[in-house]
Amino acid sequence: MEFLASILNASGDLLNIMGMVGIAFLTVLIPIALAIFGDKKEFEDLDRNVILDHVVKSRKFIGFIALVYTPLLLWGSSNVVFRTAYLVLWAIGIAQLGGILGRAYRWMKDNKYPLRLEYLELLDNPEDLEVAWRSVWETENIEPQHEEEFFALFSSLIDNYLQNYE
Amino acid sequence: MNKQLKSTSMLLGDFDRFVDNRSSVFQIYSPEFFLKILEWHKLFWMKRYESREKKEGVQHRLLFGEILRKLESILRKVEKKALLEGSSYACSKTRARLC
Repeated sequence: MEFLASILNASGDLLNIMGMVGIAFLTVLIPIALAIFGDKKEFEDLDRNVILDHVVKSRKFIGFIALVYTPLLLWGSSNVVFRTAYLVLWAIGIAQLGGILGRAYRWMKDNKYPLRLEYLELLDNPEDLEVAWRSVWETENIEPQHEEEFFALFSSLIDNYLQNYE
Repeated sequence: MNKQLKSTSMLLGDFDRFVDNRSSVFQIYSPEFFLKILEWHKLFWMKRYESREKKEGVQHRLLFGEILRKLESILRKVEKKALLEGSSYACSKTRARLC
């Protein structure tokens, strides 16, 4: 406990490390974000939504940046208790940025279908749903195995709407 | 509720519009696909009937009618594809196994 308090009180080194780790994550994220938005021919609208809403989580991205950098701004004027809390918040922000990097790696390297299916499964906004499903069905030459997977999800969605109507 | 019905109609409309993009394997030999379309057709037909009995708004009945037309269009396109590709025997056999 005393050891932790001494580290938190000697603010200089820890603050520098926290700032550098944040910058390192953001520096890696920028070229990856540019790479995953490359030219697409199939599933164009769906893939754009999967990248923005599921891989990068763009709606929460500013929040993640705030989690990483707000503790650094408030660090100097805080006591040990607040610094511990800020360290936890910073770690959560870094974990979220790490999650984005992990999903971006999966998107670029592996089969894209699992992430597409995950996104469609979690989607509940009717407007996004219509755009995403239109993008799926207008794509030609989908392998029959993936057609079955998409149709299974699609039918559970329609069944769900039917049940709600009852 | 009306919103979900409209959304269902829109989703099935897009599926119908692009059903020709689906592979023959999926359209003709997939039992889940054909069964599901028939099941939805029956359920929506019943809903339209119930809606008439309950004297729900004309908007509901119109939406049910629209959904039914889209489902019938999907079935027509699948049958047409099976006939044109000479897969009607295999198609009928798959359907017969389901019944």
